[in-house]
Amino acid sequence: MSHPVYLDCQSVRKSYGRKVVLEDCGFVVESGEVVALVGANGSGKTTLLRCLLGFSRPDTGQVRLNQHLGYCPQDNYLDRRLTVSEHFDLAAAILQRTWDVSAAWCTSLIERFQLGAHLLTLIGNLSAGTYQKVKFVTSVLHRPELLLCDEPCDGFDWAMYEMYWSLIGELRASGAAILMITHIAYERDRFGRILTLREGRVHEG
Amino acid sequence: MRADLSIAARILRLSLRELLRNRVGLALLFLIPGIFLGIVRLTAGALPVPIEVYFQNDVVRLTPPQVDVSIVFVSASVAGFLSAYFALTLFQQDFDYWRHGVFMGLRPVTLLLGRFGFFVLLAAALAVSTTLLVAQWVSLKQAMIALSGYLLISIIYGTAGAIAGSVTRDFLVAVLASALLADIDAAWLQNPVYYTAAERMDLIRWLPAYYPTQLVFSAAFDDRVNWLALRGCAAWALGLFALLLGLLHFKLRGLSGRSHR
Repeated sequence: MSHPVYLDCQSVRKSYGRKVVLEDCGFVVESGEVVALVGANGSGKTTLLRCLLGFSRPDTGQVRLNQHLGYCPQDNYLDRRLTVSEHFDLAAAILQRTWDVSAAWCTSLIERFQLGAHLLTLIGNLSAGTYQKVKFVTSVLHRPELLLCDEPCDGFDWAMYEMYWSLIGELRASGAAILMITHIAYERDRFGRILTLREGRVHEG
Repeated sequence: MRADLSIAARILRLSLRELLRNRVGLALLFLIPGIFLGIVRLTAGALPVPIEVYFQNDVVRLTPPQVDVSIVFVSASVAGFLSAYFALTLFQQDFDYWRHGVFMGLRPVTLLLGRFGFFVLLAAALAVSTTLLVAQWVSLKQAMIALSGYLLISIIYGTAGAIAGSVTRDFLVAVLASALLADIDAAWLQNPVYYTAAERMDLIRWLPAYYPTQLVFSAAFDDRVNWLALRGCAAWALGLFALLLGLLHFKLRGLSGRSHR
């Protein structure tokens, strides 16, 4: 039985001037899959991600993705002058415009990622690991069907790393598709598939 | 619609909290007027200074005391600079956060409503406090119109600061651009002692601080409402706001309303 395709990237090409970064990139991610996209520094992972998300327009090719989307970027984009609680309240209010954001789910995320003690802390005063947790939790507040993460585990201690994978397993079991972009895929058996971006093309394995 | 208004109100409240957590900004709010007006009070004399104020069809020549002219003029410059700084922090610092918010479903117009709405309230507070402060030393002929002048210079320079903040990601460059414009225009060329004796008024009249400072001078020292200055202020404010809207639209393009391509 085939699963619905949540991310479909077809023949994407992207160049900057004469430099071709992506050449005929194509892959799909189906519901219930956890896929790693790996590649060396400068291989074009971030460019591909930008094309997938619509931040950057590919020269040619097509991207189709599930609109119920969560995204955890690598950049430290959070507003340093808000508290964690203010940030979550605002993020939930924004997401609630379009999606169902359950209070019980948000509370469970905060508990599981041990963020309760940091709710009144200014984001600018968080440790790197806690900052990363806030970023990741933000991307799953609305239980997305498609989750794109760029180096999501940076700064996690082992307990948090395990918690992260337990949550990913839960999302996967509920039918979500997850694409994780990373330099190196540790513990390859955690992923259903591994895609490698090399010389501008996506290769299986 | 109701949800958007509620989010805009939330953004407005958060912007106020951010301001209260910005210790440097809060210190500037008191330090800059204190230093500039203190220096005026210490140095300016009571001798009359001839200045010109430009109405629709005529030029009025006035001779208020130097200290009064200086207080009114320096207050306008300070209001312009402070509002440019605060608008810059609102639209430049942590802009990636708001970009991500738009990606998550925040409508750009809601973001603008909350952020610019807060800025207008801040500019109004700045204008009221500036007018009250100036009225301690200068007997303003039309206090409400003077307040409008301070409000308009705050909005015009604030919008210019927001534009500078939207153009570059480098905070120092944006602050320098705003400070330079405020210094050349509001603090130098619009000085009535300078422009009254200037040979070429054409350039000075095309600068953003010209109409608001004319509005403030005419309200402070004359009995008539300067409609020319009011119209000029409105044109500058609307023009700069439209430019800011265009820039924000450009910066946030492609983030909202994603669809299958």
